[in-house]
Amino acid sequence: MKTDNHTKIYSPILKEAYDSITPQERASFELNFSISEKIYKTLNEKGLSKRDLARLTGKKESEVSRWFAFGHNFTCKTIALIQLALGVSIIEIAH
Amino acid sequence: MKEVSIKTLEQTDNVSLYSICFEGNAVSEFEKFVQKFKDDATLNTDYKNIILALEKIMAVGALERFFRPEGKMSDHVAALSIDSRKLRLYCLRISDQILIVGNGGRKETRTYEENSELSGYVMNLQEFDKLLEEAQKDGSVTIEKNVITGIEGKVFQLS
Repeated sequence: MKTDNHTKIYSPILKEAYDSITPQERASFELNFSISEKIYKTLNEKGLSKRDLARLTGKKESEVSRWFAFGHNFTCKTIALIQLALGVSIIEIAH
Repeated sequence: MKEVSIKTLEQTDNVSLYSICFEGNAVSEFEKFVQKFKDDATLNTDYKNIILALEKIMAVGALERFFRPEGKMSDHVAALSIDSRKLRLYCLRISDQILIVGNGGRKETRTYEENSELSGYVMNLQEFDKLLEEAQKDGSVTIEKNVITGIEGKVFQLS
């Protein structure tokens, strides 16, 4: 698990749970979380709500809510849809 | 009457994570949750997302948008907002800096009230939430930033 000098874990059971996560699982979670946070910040910057995002993407509000839940696995198709709806780049590939 | 105390699970500069522990139990309610689901193959993805979510919360804060309200308007009971929604972990989100995690389980009914096990976990947290508020009012417990003072060794009586 990721640790730093300012984290104190008192529960061995919690520590074991953190340690059971593989690097790939953690990296995948981080990527999806970053995408979700980028969308959230973009909505705030543009003064838009999740309901607006549902309208702009043509998706149900319940589906849009899932984009902001922990562990949502974004597809390229969904990211492309959101990018077009918001007019911003959610992810950029370095060349 | 059930006696319950609070157990510190983890602390960072920004956030403290606690759980409740019933008298006579060696482990807290959250630790029971971990032991119950860590080897459950059918819920493995949800379980790991919950653990990763807690790790993230310890880094960035127990922000309101990371939770779904589950109790009443007047209490702090919430469930971690996980995508698949098959596995629930119930919590008391006291603030952005203090999170008390309880127990949870597989959600197969539309609401937690329809499942006696899950509603029991929620009611325990609701009751503990009230007792914690009373303890703050009488001054025996104080909450400041990411620290609950006066809680170590204190025993609360749940009905």
